[in-house]
Amino acid sequence: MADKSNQLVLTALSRAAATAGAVPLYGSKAQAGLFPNNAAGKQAAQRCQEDGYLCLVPAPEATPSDSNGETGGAITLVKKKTANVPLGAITEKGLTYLLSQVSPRQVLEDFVRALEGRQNQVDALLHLARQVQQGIEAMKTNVDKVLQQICKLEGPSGPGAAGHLKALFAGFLNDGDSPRSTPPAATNDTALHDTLLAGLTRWQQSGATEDCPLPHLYRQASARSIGQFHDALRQLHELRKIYLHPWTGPLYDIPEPPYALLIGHEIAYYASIRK
Amino acid sequence: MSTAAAVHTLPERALELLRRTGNPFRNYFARNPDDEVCALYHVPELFVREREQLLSVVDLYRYAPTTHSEVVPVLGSKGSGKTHLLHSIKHGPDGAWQLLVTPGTYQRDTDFLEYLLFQLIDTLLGGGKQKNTRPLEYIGEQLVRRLLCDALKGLSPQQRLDLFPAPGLGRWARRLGLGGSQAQERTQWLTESLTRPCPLPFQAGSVVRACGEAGIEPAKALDLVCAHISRIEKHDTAGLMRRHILEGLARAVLLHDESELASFLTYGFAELDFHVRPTRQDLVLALFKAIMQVLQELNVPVVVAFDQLEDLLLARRSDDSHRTAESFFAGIVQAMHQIDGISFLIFAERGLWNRFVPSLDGYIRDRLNNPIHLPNHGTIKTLRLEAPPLDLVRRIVEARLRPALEKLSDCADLSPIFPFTEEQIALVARTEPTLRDMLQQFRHLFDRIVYGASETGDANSQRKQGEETSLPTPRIGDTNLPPEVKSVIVVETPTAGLQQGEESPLPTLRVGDLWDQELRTARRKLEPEGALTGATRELQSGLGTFLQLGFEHGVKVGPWRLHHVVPEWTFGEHPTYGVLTIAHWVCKDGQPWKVGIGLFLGRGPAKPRDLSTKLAALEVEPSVIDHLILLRPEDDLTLSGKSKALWQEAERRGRHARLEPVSLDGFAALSALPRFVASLTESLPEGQPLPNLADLLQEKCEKLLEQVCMPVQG
Repeated sequence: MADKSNQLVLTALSRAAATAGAVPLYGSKAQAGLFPNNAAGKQAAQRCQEDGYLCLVPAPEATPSDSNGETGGAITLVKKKTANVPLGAITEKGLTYLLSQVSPRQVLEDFVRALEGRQNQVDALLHLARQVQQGIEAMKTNVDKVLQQICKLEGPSGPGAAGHLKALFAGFLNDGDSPRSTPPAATNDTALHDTLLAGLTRWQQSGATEDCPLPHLYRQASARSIGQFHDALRQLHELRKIYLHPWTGPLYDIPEPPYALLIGHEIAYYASIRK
Repeated sequence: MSTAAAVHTLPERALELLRRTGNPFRNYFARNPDDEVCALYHVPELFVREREQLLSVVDLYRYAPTTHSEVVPVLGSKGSGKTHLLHSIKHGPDGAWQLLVTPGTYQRDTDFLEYLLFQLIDTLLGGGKQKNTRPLEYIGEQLVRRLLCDALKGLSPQQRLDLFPAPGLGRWARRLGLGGSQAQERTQWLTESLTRPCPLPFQAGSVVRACGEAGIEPAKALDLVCAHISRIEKHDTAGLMRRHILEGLARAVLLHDESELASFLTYGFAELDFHVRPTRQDLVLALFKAIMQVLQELNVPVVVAFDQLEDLLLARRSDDSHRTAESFFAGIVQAMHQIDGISFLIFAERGLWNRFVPSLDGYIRDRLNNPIHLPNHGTIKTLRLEAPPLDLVRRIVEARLRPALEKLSDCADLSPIFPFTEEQIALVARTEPTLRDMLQQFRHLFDRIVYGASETGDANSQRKQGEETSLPTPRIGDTNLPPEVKSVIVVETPTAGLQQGEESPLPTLRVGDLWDQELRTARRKLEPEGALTGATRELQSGLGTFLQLGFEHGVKVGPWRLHHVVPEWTFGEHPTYGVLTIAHWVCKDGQPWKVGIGLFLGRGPAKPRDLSTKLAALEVEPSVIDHLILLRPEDDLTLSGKSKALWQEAERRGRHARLEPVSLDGFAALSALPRFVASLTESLPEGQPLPNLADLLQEKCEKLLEQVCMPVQG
């Protein structure tokens, strides 16, 4: 009897250790728990709490959106159900006990199993996201057709109410972007600008007395190409956010010529942040 | 309406005036930190923060003189205003006096500390002024005030009486113990007078005047000071060196005799009675420390500012620039370790700094990057000079135009930036990367507005035309360019309005004028009594530059031409005299003559020592030179006594040597040459090589060339 109870305790502690957060104390049909939902399981759970191997964690409160069911059924359902089930998490003492009782290899195997479980969950989520994306694409195609039909019917001097639809249409023609949304290119530029400025700030804070060479800055940035990198530098220079400094030695001495940038009548090879 | 009223409206009169006074933007670069043009067009608000920070660095060493030596790099693009900033520190009204050494050359082949020591000595003894005062005069006055005051305080009442010998009956009265109170009062007055701080602005001669007013002869004051020095100074080597320096300074101030100090700093320091003969480096270090101690006790900060580092380091294009830079920075770090209390300011072109500093040894970089904490300014590592904002550019333009426009009685009704418009200034300030580029644009713009259309049409239409058409072509950021154009190179063409043969209103660079200007400056510096002796190493370096330039530019002297030049070859154990320039002169189809050329400037007891050191170069094995030429001041060409014996002995041993008399102008030419080359390089657009200077050298230095060459027949 003692052996069986001990086995239950060790299994539960292994599971708890392999899970990052709190886990339902008792299993159910929908979700596995640390202990089986029977008398032996409850007794073992009680023993674990008394010995300080496990601690009870308060269940998270359901948010209004959860209760309204707007964010999707599955997750909300789990949360609703787990709200009444006590949650447990392993303590330091529990972990020490577990490691003294079982081989670390076994604990590691439990970790691997938990990771595989998470992997399956992620796959399912990705699958769901793809389905949603396909649905949106199909909707976009249909809306596109409908909008074109409306455009033909109303002609160039149609009623003023069509203005909004025209704008919508134009947005769709521009790869589905509404006038209010930021174009992806601009978003990328902004991100690149931020990266470059952050890189130059870091360089300055590092205490170097010399200016940041452009090859170094390029490696810090996430530019798709040297051309894009140069464009971003030119824009920042125009916006007076950075200084570009020339290479003043012989041209054959430039260490990495592709990164040099012709600006005005100078060949810039260094940059520094403008205060 | 009268004709006069119709023609002479205010803008017309202003244009006429500007036409007469010339283009105020003609001087768009500072030749060196002593260029007077800087003071003429100084705008105090420009780089005010940077100037305050640099002065705070200097003050750090004023109030704690033994602080560890540190480096502050001042970085900026070519033409950003570095030299102007240095000028404002060296000559401007802000801050107290400091000894600012601004080397005009970098002697790569010389030990760095030795190079630095002789730069310091040259500055101390030279005629160049800082804040309108010669360094020797300021330091000497401060020192003598203190020493004389202490000496007077230490005198007994009887000794004080002896300072003022009473004439006639008074002498008898003194023997009877009468008439002593006046002497006591005079001594007291002189002591108080010397204790008071120097009146500002500083004027040399106050100590001598005070002694004269008190009735003490300068010679007697000197005796008093020398006796006091011998009482307070130790008798070890350092004490002896300090003693000679203090006595030399006192003699220079009280008797206006600088030769003793100059002689000690170039010769005497190596002739002290040493138990163990010190090495060349030991001598240099000992003298450097002694000079620094004297200055630190006076709370005079020593600042060594390397301006136009790119010209100093890259003067010789054939050299390995990275090696030169490394030896320079390693030298600075070594000097920082060996000598405390020096503030090194490095005014460097930013591109040069960016290129060379990353490749330096990690330790050198750490020392160069060492931060300095300044009260009220926080911690600084480096100062960067960026292009000034629009409001400052406007003030710079105002400062340039003001001297001319102020001549108009009703100038208050005229825009202070006339003949420019606000838009033109804004455009130039926005598009030009450096201050110098801006000034050059204003120079062109001024020429086009003021001179461009002056021949035809009335002035109003010119003005309007000027406003409409004379905007300079922006180099960058032209908003009318299509978006795919990412850069533009503007190729400037001559002004379209000029007819062929018509004289261009644009100022042309007159190399000859620049030479004459530098020559005058160098002559002024060498005029004081001990200046020539103090400038020995600087002149030797100038001689090296002279011959190197002659070699690179293909100078010919009769059938002779230069085949190879070693600008500075150091030998032996004497830091001042053990240096020569080696030139290999070759004739057509002949073997080259290896000629050693040196300066023979020692006077008095230093003369035989100088000569023997130089003649020893002929004995070096394996042979380095076949022939020795010594350049001697023309007023002391005759050899006698020990010098004559040395010369005859060399002749007996079959050594070829000759003496050449050189005038002060000849020495001034040697001194001026490195600065002239630096100014010329600075005036040229970036990347443009020097023009061929062979004709200039042959025209301006014809005699000197013949003197340093092998004999020319006929």
